Amino acid sequence: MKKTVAVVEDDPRLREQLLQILEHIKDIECVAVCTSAEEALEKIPPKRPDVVLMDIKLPKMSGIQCVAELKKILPEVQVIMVTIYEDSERIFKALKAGASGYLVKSGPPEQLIDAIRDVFAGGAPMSGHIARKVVQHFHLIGPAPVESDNLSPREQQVLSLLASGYLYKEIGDQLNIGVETVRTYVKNICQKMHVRSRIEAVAKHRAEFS
Amino acid sequence: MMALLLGLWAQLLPLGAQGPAAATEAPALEIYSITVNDRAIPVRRNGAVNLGSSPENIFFNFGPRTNAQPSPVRIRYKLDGYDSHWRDGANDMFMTVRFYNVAGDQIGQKQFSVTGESAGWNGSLATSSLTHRRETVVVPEQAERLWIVISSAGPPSAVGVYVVANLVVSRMSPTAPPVLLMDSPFDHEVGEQANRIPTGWVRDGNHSSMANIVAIGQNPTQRAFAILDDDGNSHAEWHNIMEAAPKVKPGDQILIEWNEAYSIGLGGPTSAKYQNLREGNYRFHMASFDIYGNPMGGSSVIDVLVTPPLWRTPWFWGGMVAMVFAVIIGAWRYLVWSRLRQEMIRLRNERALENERLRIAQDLHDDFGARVTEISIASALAKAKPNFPESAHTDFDRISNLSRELVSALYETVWAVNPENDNLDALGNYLVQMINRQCEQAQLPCRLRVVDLPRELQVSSQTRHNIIMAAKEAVHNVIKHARATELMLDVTFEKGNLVISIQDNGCGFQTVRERAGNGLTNMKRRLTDIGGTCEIESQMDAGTKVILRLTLLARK
Repeated sequence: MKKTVAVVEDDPRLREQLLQILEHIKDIECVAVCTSAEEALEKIPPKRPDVVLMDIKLPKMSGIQCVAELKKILPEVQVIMVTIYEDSERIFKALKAGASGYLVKSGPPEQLIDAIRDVFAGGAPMSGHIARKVVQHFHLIGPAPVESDNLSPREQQVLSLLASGYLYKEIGDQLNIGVETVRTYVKNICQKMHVRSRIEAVAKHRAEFS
Repeated sequence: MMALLLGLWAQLLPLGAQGPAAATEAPALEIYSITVNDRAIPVRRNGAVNLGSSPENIFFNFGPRTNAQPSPVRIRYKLDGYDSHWRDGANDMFMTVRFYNVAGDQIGQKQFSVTGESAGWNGSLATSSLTHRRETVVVPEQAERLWIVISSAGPPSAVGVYVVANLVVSRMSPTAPPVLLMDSPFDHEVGEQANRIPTGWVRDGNHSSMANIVAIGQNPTQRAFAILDDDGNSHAEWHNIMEAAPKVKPGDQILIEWNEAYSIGLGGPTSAKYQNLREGNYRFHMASFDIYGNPMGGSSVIDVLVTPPLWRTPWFWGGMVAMVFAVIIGAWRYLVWSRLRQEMIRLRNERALENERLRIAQDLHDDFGARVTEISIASALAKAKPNFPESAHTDFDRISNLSRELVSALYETVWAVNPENDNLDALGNYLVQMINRQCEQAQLPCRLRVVDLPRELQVSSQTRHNIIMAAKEAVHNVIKHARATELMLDVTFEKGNLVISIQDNGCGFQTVRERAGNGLTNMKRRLTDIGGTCEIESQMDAGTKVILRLTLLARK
């Protein structure tokens, strides 16, 4: 069965290029193309795609906000942020909002195609500096009240190796696991961060209104 | 009447006691009014008066209380705090030379007045000494005779004692010795009965009994004419009788010599004038005296206050101090305020500059970045075309590499100018990101040990840029020259000291022998520019370590 994807990108030419790249990847079907976050929130939910490629910077509502809204409607959807720059602050915010990973479109084009493939195979790559911010974030918020919301020891290991500059392959070698598994760990880490962030936000909201 | 008798009694006894009269009742004296510069000053109920500050032309108008019994003989006053002696109101008595014509009419006179107390006056006839006096007059036209008159006919209320002794009148002549016209009657009548009217003299006035013959001084005492005036309403005089009057001719120079002693005052209402009074507490005394100037007991007193001028009051100085203080505080606050305002303007300008930096950065980021990305992707898509010529592969690879480099250079610039990144945490993060990318592209495994860095610590755009460039250079050198299999980044931050160490396990070089390349010099200069240091440790086959150090102080 083909995986379904939706694209949210405001720059027409980059959108066109992204669609061209997707054409090169087998077993993928693009079910929605949106030019704004508002349009995405309207068009994407009925299509229920597996993956959404979302530009991080959109004209009105930002990509980050759009992720948060979309995850409320489709909690299972995998949102991958697409960005020109590996801007750690924005990417980190998007991950907290519920993104499963991110792609740097200005990277080597072959890598971009590979990365999109990888996304469908399991998860997006995460760079050391983003991993570092994630580590810092988990340090900052402390352990969760529900044990399953905390990072597992393996996830912690993967994350700290990532933050120390190890590549996926190196991590796999180090931990005697496949690269795919590393990706899955990273995806789970992102998922947990999102959950924790949501709980945090709710608690904060309660604290403010009680 | 009592006082008069006492006075007479005293005159008849040359050494008679003249102490205070035994007045049993205080003479009633009172202030009629007090004026300062013609403005009346009210006397308070407590008997005090406040003249204000720096009063001028002060008059105390006072005298016997209406219907006072007995009425005081002589009233003297004293302002304690100003006067050292008792003072008398304006008064005088006279020694007069009168001229008469053949018909016996007065045609002129010359008065020699005395007022107050003579220098030798000492409170009684016995204890006082005489003062010599010498006057000349020119005989007027038609004058034929000359009279000498000793009189208390001054102001009506004048009272007191006027003693004249050794009276000698002579005619001067420029060519001849003086001719004696009249000699002291007493000098030739030694041992005569006291108080006998001398030959050629007569008492006169509307109260002629006050003209007396007295004994004055001691060793020897001598007899003299005296007016003992204790009646403020009348006067007495001594003068020679017409028959005994010396004959003169108009134009004659007449010399009159006598010895005198006097103490004259007033018995009625008077005023005491003071020109200026300094601030202070005064006390105005009015007292009853006998004609000789001896107190008779009984006095009235009024407290007089002269307030200090405004600038001498504690209030004034308190006010001044407060004002000076207020001015200083005001000035200080103004300075603080204006400095604060300047600081605010500076901050506003700085903020405006930062916003502008951010705007430019974001414009670059968005537009330029998107287009360069497009180039990069376009070249990749081209290569994927089925009929893409094999020979063009290298060229298209170069295009995509170049565009990628452009994007990353752009990102670097944007990152450096973005004020959101003006902190140490952002710097650490960027180091990780940059070195990660550099190593990934070079397929050089890297190990990053970067401590959590404070986000609150400000690091200027310039400092960040220099550190980033130096680190980039160090990593670049490792990739290019070291033939290393691993790169290690260590970042520590303790007590404000930032240490960034970039180490490799490559071939190293001899730091001493090998001429330091341009890159090494650049790194050192970049760190020196921002107040830091750059050390390079290297040994052959043992790798290289570049240590960047910088002390960062929290900016308030």
